[in-house]
Formats: sequence, structure tokens, C-alpha cells
Amino acid sequence: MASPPIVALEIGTSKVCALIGEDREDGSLMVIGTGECPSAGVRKGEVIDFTMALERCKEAIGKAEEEGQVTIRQVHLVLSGSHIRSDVNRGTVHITNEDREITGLDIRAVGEAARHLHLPPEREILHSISQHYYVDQQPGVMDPEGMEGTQLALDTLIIHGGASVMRNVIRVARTAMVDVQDAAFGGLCSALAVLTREQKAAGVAVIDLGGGTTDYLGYANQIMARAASTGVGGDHVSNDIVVGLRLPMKQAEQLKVQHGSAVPVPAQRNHTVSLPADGTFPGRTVKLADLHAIVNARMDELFKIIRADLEANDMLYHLGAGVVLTGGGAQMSGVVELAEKVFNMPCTIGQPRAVSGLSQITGGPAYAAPLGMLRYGIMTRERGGAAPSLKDLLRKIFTRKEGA
Amino acid sequence: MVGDRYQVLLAGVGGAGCNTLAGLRAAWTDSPEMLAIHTSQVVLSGCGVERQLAIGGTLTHGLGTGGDPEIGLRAAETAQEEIRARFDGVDLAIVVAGLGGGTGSGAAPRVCAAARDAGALVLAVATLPFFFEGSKRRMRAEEGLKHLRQSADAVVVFPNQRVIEWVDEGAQVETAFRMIDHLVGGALRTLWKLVAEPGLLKLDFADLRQLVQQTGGTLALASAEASGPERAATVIEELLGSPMLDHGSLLPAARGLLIGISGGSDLKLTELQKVMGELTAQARPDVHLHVGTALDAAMEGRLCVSLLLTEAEERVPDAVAPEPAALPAETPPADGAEEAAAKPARRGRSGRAVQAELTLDSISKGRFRDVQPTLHDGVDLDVPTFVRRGVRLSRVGSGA
Repeated sequence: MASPPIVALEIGTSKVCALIGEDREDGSLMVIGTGECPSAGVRKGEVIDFTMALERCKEAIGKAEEEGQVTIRQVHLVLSGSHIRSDVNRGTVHITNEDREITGLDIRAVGEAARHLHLPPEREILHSISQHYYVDQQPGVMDPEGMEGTQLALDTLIIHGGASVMRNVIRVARTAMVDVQDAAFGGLCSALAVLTREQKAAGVAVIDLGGGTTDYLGYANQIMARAASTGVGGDHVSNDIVVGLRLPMKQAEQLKVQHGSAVPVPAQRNHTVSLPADGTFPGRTVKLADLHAIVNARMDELFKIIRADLEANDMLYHLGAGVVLTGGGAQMSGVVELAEKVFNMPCTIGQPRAVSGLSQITGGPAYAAPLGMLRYGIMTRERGGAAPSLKDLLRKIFTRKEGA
Repeated sequence: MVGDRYQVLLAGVGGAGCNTLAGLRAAWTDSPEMLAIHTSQVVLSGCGVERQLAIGGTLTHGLGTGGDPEIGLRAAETAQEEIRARFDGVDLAIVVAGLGGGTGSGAAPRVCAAARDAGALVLAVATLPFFFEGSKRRMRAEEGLKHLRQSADAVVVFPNQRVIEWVDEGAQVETAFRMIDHLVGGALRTLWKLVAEPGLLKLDFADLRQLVQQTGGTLALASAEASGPERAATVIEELLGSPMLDHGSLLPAARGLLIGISGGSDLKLTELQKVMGELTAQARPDVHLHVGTALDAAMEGRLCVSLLLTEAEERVPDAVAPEPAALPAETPPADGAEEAAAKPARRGRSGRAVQAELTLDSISKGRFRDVQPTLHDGVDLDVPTFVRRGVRLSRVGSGA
């Protein structure tokens, strides 16, 4: 295969992760190298300590280079955070041809018009994704070329984010001596990694339960209809445990991973766990029922916030294929059960599709976003590079010449 | 054998105080001497405590204060000499009162002052009203507590509200009050036992005095009892989850800590080690630690552990240096008012409610304290959901 491997980089709240992937002849993805380390200096998907984040970023890239036996010069960056929002924008053009036939030119023109969403100065467009066309107010047209009409309109889902927040993440990568070739919203990446065409057609929401943020994306009738991110993630669960059970962060984190449950477990109502002494922590016995009550409250609230948002955007009753959970938080026990209760529809754990490589990476939901980023990178390369709006964003923050 | 070295007098002031004594007296055969003090003759005759002192005379005609602390105060003032005489030769006076009413809030501070005047180390044990008892009682209680802090050597505060967590939601008010009586009573028994009874490791009266004087201010007291093979673990868990210690959080903050352990002859060394190890591990490394163990035939098969600790100052006190070690307890100024003035207020008048608010605001957000809050419909999502939803955590040993 001639094309060089693609590197997905995610500077997350809980971990920094670099995946090196190659596309195969059969269209599948092969992960040939990974580098990961615990994150630092990042909260809720936003860089709060540049030096610490940079350190970890370099470490992850270094590990991936070693494992994949490649030198990484360019990365595709996964972006998350509650600063990311989406709006639907409609662009309209009049068909001026004599015979009123819609041509490729008209379609490009309407695409340009639909992409043009007026945003406040601190916002930058991350993605603009075509939803569907209207031909003379008739909605739901997927391919208007060759159709006849006097007016053509296009709805576009514009995913945009806080400019300075995104610049800071990109700057970390750049300072780590890698060039950012492209960037994409984490929720979109997760969807690319785990959703099938059938699910998108039936309507589906993918919820990526990350460390600092929870990203989600909804499809209805094959159309990407909603993208958003909320600044609540696994970090909040851990912090709630710290506060509720009065434990150090490390012990709370361990307890969450080993014994956490998003739903109460009646059989363990009276069970306790002894946490051994460690450094200044003297050791403690905690009740599982308390742990589960704390986790349940947080996860229940999070799902209800997402549910309310999907409902407000008229999405909730168009999710025929239900809800798919990805991200590290999807590994929490009881999370599917709780999601089914809150959304009242089938919920599943998203398994990355058509990827091979290390099973720790490709076998579960935790790495859906960076895996999806690899796929996104391959797609954009085939299309000829990053989307125009993103190129803009990247150009604005060039501190070094591209490819340096 | 009881109290032959130190004279202890347990005084109940006001309705709640007398009730506590009455409850204790029934189940406590070798109790220290008790004294019931009230403005109401009716309450006194009903409580069954042998030694009684009716105060108020013509002020109340033996009918109580009608909830007016001013009358309680004046009643105690007019009987100052009588009260003082009752504490003659007493080394440790434990004055129990429920704050919020007239006699407890008004007279108890005066009783403490008189007891100190007589040369006793005075430990006031005060309960604060439940929230549902209304703001008027709360305000009276706060005022009473302020005076109590000035007149007693140390105050052990039992905010009744903390007990709410312990009783079932459907429980009657009566149950909650009984629970408080039970808690206060249990704590008093242990406290007294530690000071007065011979033990393995002796907890001296001097230890208590030192704890009170070194650290000054407000004390928290909690005790737990269990039996069976897992009793040590159960007791520890119960103590660390105790509402009386704010779920154990008062422990790491305490500057002074007194641990009292009592049990029967079957008390094992390993149990002692376990209890001591786990409790002291929670405390500050530089804590003033006092430990006492008492063996009691009546405790056969059971283990009881009590903690008496100083509540941390939650803010830098205005004019407050820690009490000098040479607190003139034996030679207090004759006049109570002067004494109150001479002793700086040990801490600002920061009620429990204020502290609770602070906790919610600055501690609960934990690691998100310094970052942009995640707001959703005006709600700060960084504050733990279980806190905002008021999820009750069991923590306290339901498995005990």
C-alpha cells in the first residue's frame, strides 16, 4: 500500500492517545502502533496547563513511534469539549438555467451558501455536513442533480467550537513537533468507528462517554441531525466518589473502575470493599451500595440531560436503532441497563467495526473516537484533504510552516 | 470504686437536660452523682433524679420560663450562690442542656460559670434543635451556645439535625428525640467511665483537661458499640460514618483527639490495635492524642469506642489564639461577666448552618473548583449529583 499511515491523536482529559493506522485493500483499518499515557493539564477536554499537556502529548507520540516503528510528522486531532455545538443552517439558490435543470454548479453554489453560517467572532466551524436538499420547498431530496426546479435549498449541520479552546489543543500538538493535518469532533469520530449504515438509516444516537466530556451525535434517516458535547464525563463520576466517600482521587478512580456500577446492585447491597492503605491514605472500607448510588445519580443525570436535548431537537422519536454507547465510560457495569431505562429504547455498546490490530484497542468501545479519527483521516485524504473551513482554522494558527 | 479519685458531677439543666439524666439514671446503676436543675418544679419532680435544685423562686413560681432565656438567665443569677455550692469539691462538671428553650439556653451558661467558679473543669454538653423546630428556637440556641462557649471550658455540641440521617424517613419525631437522648447518654457514660474507672491504659482526668485546654473551643463526641467477631470493624465503620462526626470528616481536621475504648475481659489486643490503627490513621500526624481503655464486667462480649475530638476552626478566628496551657481553671475570676470578657471568644459565631454551606460550595466541587463550571439550566453540574439530589448514603453501619 503506497499511502502512508495515518496518526490519530486525542489529547483527552483522562488519557492522551496516539494511534497509527493503515487502510487495507478490503477497506478495513489496521492499527499498527499505539502510544498512550495518562493525561495531565486537561479538564473537560480543554487545556488548562499547556506544559503538562505538552509533556504527555510528547510521551504518547513517542510511545506510538516506538511501537509502530515510524516517525510521526502529521496527526489527525480528535477534538471534544462542551464548547462544541451544532446548528442547522439552510442555504438557498435560485436555478437560473433556461430549462430549470439542477446542475453540479448549482449544487456547489448551494453548498457554499449553506456552509456560510454567521457565527460570533470567537467561534470557528469544525464541520459542515450536508443533510438534505429541498427542491422547490420539497424536503428530503438526497441527490438533486438532474432534477427540475426554480429553487434549490440545502440544510447543513454546522458543528462549531470555541476558537481559542481548539487552538490551544492544536497548539499543544504543534509544539510537540507534529503537524496537525486535520481535526474532527470526537462524537463524529466515534460514530464513524461504530455505526453501521443500517443504524444510521433507522435513526441512532451515539454517546461517547469520555473522561472530561460526553460527546453525542444523532442520525435520523441517514442524516446527521444533531451533534453536541456536554462538559460532564468520567472525571465527574470520580470526583463525586471523592466527595461522597471521602477518598483520594486515585482510590476513587480505582474503585470506580473495579466496582463501579451505573445501577444499584441489590445482591451487593451489604457488600463492602476494603481499600488498602497507600502513602498518606490510611485505608478505608466503603459500602458498594453507596458507591453505586453516587455513580447512578451522576450517570442518570447525564443521560437525562442528553435525552432532553435530543427531545428538544425532535430526535428522540426517530431513533429506531436506539442508542450506542462508546468511550471509556461505556465499560462501566450497568451503563447499558441505565441507558435503556432513561431512553426507553434498546441500547448497546459500540464495537469498532472493520478494524484489526491490538485487541485492547480495537476490541472494545474505549478507543472508538481515535479509531474513527483514523477512518475520517482516510476519507478526507481520498477527498483531497481537510474540509475548507477546517483548513481555515488550521491556517489561522500556523506557528510553523506546514510539514516542518 | 467509682470516682474515688475524681469527683464528677453530672448536671442536667432545663427540660432536655433533666430528661437525659432521667433516661440515664434508669439504666446506669453506678452512675456519677447527678443533679437536676430547672425552673419548673413539675419537671424536677417528674425526672426522678435524687438531687434537685429548683431555681427561679419568685421569678417563675416553679412554673418554668415559658421559653424565655432572659428569665432562665435571671433565675440562675439569683441562685448563683446555691448553684456554686452544689459544685464544691467537684473536679469535673458535665453540664447537659438542650438549647433552644428558656432554662437550657438562659440558665445553663450561668450554671457552667458557677461550676467553674467552684473550681471544676466544666464540660458542657449541648444539643441544638432540629431544623423543624423553627428558627426562633434555633436563634435562641445559637445565642445560648455563644454564652456557653464563654462560660464552660469546652462545649460538646450535638446538632440534633445530624441524627436525621440515622432515623428512618417515616420515623416519628419521638424516635428522633429518643435517639438524641440515647446518643448523648451513651457518650456521657463512656466519657465518665474513661475518667472515673480504672482501666488498662489509664486515661487520666488530666488528659481530658489537657485536651480541653490545649485545643479549646468546640468538641465533637461520638461513640459506637458492637458485639460479635467483627465488632472492631463495625465500630470503626460506624464511627467514621457517624453524622456526629460529620461522616468522619471532623476526624482528619481535629487538633485534639481522645479515644476511649471499653470492653469486657474478652477485649483482645488485636482489636485494640485495629481500632487505634484505623482511627489514628485518619487523624492529623500532629494531633494531640489521648487514649484510654476501660474494662468493665458489664461490657462482656461487647466493644464500645468513643471519640472526643476538637472541631477544627473553619476560619481564621478574629481575636483567637489557642488557649494558653495555663488556663486558670482553678482560679477563675469571681465574676462571670468579667470572665466572659477576659476569655476571648474561641471562634467566630459561625453556626453549623454556615459551615454546611461552605462545604457544599468549596469542597464538593473537588477538582473542578478552579475551572469554568459546567452550567446546565443554571445548575452547576460540577457539584456532585448525589449532593444536589440529596441522595442518602447509608455509610453508617446498617450491617451492624
